[in-house]
Amino acid sequence: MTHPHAPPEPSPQDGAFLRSFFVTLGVLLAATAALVLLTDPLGTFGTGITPPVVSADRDQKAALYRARVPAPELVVLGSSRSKSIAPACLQQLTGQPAFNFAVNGASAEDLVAILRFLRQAPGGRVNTVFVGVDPEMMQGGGGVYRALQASRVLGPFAPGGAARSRMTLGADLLGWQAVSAAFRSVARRVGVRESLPEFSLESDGLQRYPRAEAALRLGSFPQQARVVGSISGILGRYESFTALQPDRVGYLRRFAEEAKAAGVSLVAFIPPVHPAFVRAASGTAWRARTEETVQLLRSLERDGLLRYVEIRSLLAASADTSQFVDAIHFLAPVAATVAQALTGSPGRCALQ
Amino acid sequence: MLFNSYVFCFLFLPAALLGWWQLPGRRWRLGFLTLASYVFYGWWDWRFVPLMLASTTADFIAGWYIHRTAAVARRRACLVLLLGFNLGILGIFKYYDFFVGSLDGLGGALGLSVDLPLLHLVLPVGISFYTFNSISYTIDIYRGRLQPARSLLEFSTFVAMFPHLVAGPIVRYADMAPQFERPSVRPDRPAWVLGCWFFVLGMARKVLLADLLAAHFVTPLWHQAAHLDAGEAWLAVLAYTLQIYFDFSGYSDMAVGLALLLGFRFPQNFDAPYQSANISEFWRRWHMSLSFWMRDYLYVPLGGNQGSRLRTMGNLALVMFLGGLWHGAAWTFVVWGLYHGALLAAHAACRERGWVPRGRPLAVVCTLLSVMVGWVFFRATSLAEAVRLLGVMGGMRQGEGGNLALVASPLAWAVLLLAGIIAAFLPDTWRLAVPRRPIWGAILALLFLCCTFRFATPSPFLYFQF
Repeated sequence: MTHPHAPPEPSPQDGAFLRSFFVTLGVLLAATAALVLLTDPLGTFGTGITPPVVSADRDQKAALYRARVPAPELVVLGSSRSKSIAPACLQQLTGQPAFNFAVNGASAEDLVAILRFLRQAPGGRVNTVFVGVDPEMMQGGGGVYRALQASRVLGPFAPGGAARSRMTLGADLLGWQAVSAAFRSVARRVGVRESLPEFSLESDGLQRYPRAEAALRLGSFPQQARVVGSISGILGRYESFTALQPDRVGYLRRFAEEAKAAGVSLVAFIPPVHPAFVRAASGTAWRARTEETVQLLRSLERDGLLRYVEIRSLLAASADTSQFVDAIHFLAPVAATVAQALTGSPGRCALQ
Repeated sequence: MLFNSYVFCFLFLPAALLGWWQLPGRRWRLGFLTLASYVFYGWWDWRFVPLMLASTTADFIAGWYIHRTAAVARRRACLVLLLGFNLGILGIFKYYDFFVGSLDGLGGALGLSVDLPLLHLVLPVGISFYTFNSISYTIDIYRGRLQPARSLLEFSTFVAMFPHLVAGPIVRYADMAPQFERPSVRPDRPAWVLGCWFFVLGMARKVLLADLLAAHFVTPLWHQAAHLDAGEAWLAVLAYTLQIYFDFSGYSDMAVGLALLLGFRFPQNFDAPYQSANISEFWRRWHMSLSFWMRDYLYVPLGGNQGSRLRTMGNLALVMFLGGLWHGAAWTFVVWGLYHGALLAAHAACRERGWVPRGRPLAVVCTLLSVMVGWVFFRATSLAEAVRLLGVMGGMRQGEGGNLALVASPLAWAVLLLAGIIAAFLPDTWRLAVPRRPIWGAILALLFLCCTFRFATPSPFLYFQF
């Protein structure tokens, strides 16, 4: 005994309704996609005419690296979670000239491409790489990450040649992250400016957070709200992340193999996150994927390809936890603790 | 492939609609629709396509055999064989590990060793739905109420049709056969207006309400289930109550909308169930196609309410137990089913004595609270977690609390409030009159655009797992 819907009575306005629906939808979709393409706020397509809301850092860092004198011997790789690790601090602890080549939204293939770039760069003499491995580096469908493909300098070094992931085109053009960033990018262009930029990049590749750092000095940074407010969004990214993507796991292994073949000493770690996030994420896919990533790194360590340093619980009893811009991005004091743990140095870096 | 994905909305659906409306001849069109539906299904995991094909072919052959065979014993034997085949497939994929695990646990408690291997099979999406579609077809033929499908193609289209394939509504061949016999040859404007209306509103229910509730309340709070205080526990359950409703009713509305765009009509699956004044009414308004299926193919054959009161209550308990098990192979679902069976039996007994709340608002609140208690079992990862949470909700246990700060944001509270108002006070999509002025077409398009922004975060429907 089902309830079939009664056929609707025809109305003279039906045609106009449908035209209105489809024309409006087409115009809105085209306008949104065009806005994202023209602003390219996340540095995905290489087509932007307005300032990106994240630094389109692959090419920028490549240029900074090439200009660095003396040529770096120690390089930090990873995602935005590793961008605050200060090369100057590492240099102080190890005596080696250092550079931070961590990039936004790094994928496993980014690591391969950056390593190949470092090896072929004129005067390149990198012998140590600290790589902050983030499970999200091994998320998503097959194909090379679009931001890497869009990088004029690093793109040619991407594994898999010109293969480009078409499955993310919709998300890149119409996803909320891209659309909201496009509006922020336009707002900056038309003059809605902050007194201090949110991000800045130093000549050694270190990313700073001028606005947050200034607010912290003044005691006006809404630390708790920023950490708490970011948790559900980060966990949400993992909702559909049910397993590490095999191709990207393969890229990570290839990166480690190529590093070994080039005589580069590889030290891998998982960047620490805010303790409040650790608690909120217990039992979630984030926790599961992180554990799988640790297992993967330990298996690469057993194969003699890298050395894994466990620093996830570094902050469990630390006062540094107030130094986060959100749940997963730490600032200089935490970065100094991380640098000390990675280098195994008994002293603490004095730089902030 | 998810309805709420770029590939479905911008590639698959336009191609499917174009092919369906442009191809000449009924057989070509049905063939195309079936092929498209198999692509839709295989997109998730192509390895299960042969399974659905085998099940469809077996049901089709058995249907004709039962129809043509006069001997009652042979007809019955064929029906039993086919039910065994369909339920066997379902059992292996869905229930084998559950029963083996339970047996192992029981054996361990009794000091016996039960050493059966677990299979760890992936559950084919939609298997519970298409199995029930097929079972009703064969039983209806056995009962002499239905002529078998004229061709395997027609029957395959019925089973595989992508709008209802993976999460219903559970459709019956008797409703669909006339539509397959004479499918519309050109798009019907009123049906398309209604189809767009259903599809977009269903999408908005799913991605703008259910998914936001999940991200901001359900996921973070339920992950902290062991640490919630009473207020947080009630909030977690309320958020899940709304999430599951908007998730599943959103999917059903989308399925109905897609069917209308193809010129078909599906049965209603929801009717503002949280506005029900008693549990019996709730089950007539929640997942209606399953409720009516269980009534027609389980409850009535068991004797329904025609026997003694004790027998009626037993029938209710058995049907709801099976209904719970249908949802998932876990003791939490079994207890959820039995709990609803007990509620239905208690309601029947109270109604006989006139023990019902005075005034509809109070009755609605009582019904909603009892449904929410049931959702605790449905959502909990174990019986222990459910019991613990119910203890906290009932004030019998203390929780640590302090978790609200992890989830709260003004947007989240606004979504919760909006979802609550819609669920508690507004009519279901089926009862809304479609505003046909062109400006509403533009507003609907804007709403759909907002939905597309969230496609970047893949979010399967809750009922896919069943």
